[in-house]
Amino acid sequence: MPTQDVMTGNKAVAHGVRLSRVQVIPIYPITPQTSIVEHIAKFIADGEMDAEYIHAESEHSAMAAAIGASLAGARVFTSTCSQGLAYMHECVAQATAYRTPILMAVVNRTLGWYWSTGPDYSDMMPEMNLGWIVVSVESNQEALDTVIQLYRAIEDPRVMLPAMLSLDGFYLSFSSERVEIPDQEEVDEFLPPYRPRYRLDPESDAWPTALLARPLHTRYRMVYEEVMRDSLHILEEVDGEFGKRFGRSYGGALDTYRVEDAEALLVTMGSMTTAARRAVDAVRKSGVKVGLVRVRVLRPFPSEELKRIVEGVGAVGVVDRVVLHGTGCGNLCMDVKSALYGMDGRPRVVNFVAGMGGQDVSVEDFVGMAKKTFRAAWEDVDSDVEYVLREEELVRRTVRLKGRYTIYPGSLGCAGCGASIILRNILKVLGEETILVIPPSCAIVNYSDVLGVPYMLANYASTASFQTGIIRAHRVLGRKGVKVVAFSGDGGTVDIGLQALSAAAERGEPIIWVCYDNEAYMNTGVQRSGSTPAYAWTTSTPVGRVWRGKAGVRKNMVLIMAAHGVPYIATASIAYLKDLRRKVEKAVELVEEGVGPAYIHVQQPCPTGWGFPPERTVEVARLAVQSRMWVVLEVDDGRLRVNVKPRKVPVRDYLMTQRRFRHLTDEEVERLQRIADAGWETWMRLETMGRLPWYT
Amino acid sequence: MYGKLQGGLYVGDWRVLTPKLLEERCKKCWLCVEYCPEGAVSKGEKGPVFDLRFCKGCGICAHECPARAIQMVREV
Repeated sequence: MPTQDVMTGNKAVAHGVRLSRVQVIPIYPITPQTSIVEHIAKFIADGEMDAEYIHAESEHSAMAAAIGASLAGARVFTSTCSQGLAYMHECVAQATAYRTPILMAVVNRTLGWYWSTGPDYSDMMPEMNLGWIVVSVESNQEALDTVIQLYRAIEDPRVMLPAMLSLDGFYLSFSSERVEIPDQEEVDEFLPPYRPRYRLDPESDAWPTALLARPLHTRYRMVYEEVMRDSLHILEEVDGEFGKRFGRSYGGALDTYRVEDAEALLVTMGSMTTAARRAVDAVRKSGVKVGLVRVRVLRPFPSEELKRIVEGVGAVGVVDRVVLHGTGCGNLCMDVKSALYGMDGRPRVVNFVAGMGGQDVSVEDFVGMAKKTFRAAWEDVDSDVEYVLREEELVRRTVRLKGRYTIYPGSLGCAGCGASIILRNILKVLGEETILVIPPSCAIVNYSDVLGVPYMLANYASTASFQTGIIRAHRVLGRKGVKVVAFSGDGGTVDIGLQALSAAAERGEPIIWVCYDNEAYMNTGVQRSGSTPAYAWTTSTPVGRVWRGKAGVRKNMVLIMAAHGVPYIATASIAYLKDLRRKVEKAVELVEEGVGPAYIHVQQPCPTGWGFPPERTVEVARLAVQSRMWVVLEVDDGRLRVNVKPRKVPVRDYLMTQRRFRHLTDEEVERLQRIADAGWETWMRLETMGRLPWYT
Repeated sequence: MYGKLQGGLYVGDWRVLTPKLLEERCKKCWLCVEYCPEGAVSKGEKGPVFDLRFCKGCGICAHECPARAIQMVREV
């Protein structure tokens, strides 16, 4: 029996993935996509779903793993958005050449240059023409249903193409609606297991390849395009069959509303269509005959279907949540215009750009657009793009203060945030002659608003490269004494940022790197990172019948940096601030001599992510050091010194202060105790060694 | 976009509990100043001064005070 529940769009997608019995799910967190893969992790942890879950270290790797898994013959799902999708780009293109039927949910969010987590389609548009099927949904129910529909369509031997499922960030991802969850048996009957004809397997008759001789390129592109054009009918067919079995279908490629006698049509996509429907109802009451077309299948673009619908219509008003810069119109409008080119008695086209960065597009906005489109039909004119602008007050409650600060008081961080303590203390030492380079993290979201020194938001994977560019420019311009300091979380250090950091370390760039390590991706809502300790609960390593928190131990960044021969490496704790400030002083001395990098790794207890009351932030940090779960040391030109040698406290005393470890059994605590003891002994032995072997 | 800031963010209304100084106990070790995540505590003549425009009431100052000279009290 199907069941009903109230859920967000992201949870609906997760249910779709569970019901589709997806086998491999490579993930990387990014807002507003993350809760999809959190829900999936919970399904697996609880034994409700049996799948391989891959915690990738970047989106690039997530898509690479997805392609590998799909080629090897498994059903694959991943999801991302915005910067993550852009970082995936080359792998996204690769998936098409291999004909891998991967499904990727793109929870639309604007693509920086101007950063926001709000939705628009600037993230998806650069990926639109790579050969993926793209379907955009309006509601949470449609999101769930479309997951199942798409697997059926893309795994069809006549198709074998990857597909993106586009749903709006926030408007769908985090809004709750009533959703019917289909019965597993029914879904199993509708969607058979994935059995590809060729696989990446020595036993397979043939192996997929993406290498192609030049004389074949044009021909293969032609064939690919034919397959893609034909897939439109299969998508429509699957939507129809789904409707017969489950009682819901979505109009195939184009979802129409009150178009029969319409003299003008609005053309929309995504969740804002719901407001457009209300606007159509409103203007029809005053006799303005406007209808609505929601483009559901964006690729392949349903040109012929659209032409049939607009026949006899005076004008279409295309509403875009994106601008194709330099063309004077939005993406959807460009598609519509090219579809209508050469059509006898084509309707006039009006283009509206609205709702960028997630700004609301209201019913009133659509009423205005509907009336303008109707007027264009009546006056029989095309018109230039029109931007739907809304006057909204910018809310920023800044208290003006006299004098110059390196960091002003107040911030958007959580009460009791340890990162704030680190940042304020390191800036005390660094002073005004500092440029901060901060990758996406809690720090950029919460503390950039109060920084009194120049800072830049680095792209996630390349913080150390941004630093390198800045420091080299300062050198060539003869500007001396400016410290270029990264303030990066653990994800930006040990996972996605490691490659650029490693390269900067190997080149010996005179930069300072401060990692504030809260042992998970806190900014996206507590997902495990390469620095999460063993057994810790996170939202991507939940505790359930099958999972026991994070499997495996964290990376050892001190030794990774030492293996590069980094001249100064230190760990620190917010419970020992004098020690931290001394280490920053040491780092400053070093880079001012033109030597580097200086690497400082500070453990940062996080009340929100670790689960303890905010007043205990410093206490928890102290317990970490006392229990030897966190060791405060430095490696100065290869000589290792443990700076804090406290009286030993059992790890249990540290672990039990935090909700993320509450599920631990005695044996698991015992294992963590052994890891801590062994680690401590190793550091003590290294301390007596003199210079480490990588320093000569 | 180009910008330069000249102030802190008003977050005082996040607070549930407010720090209150018990002057006679204060030893002026200034750990409260060091540990305040918001930079809302400064050195005064008789002990720490709390800038309530920026204090979120996390209570780290009170919890870390070795002399127990700060109490967190509910505001009326």
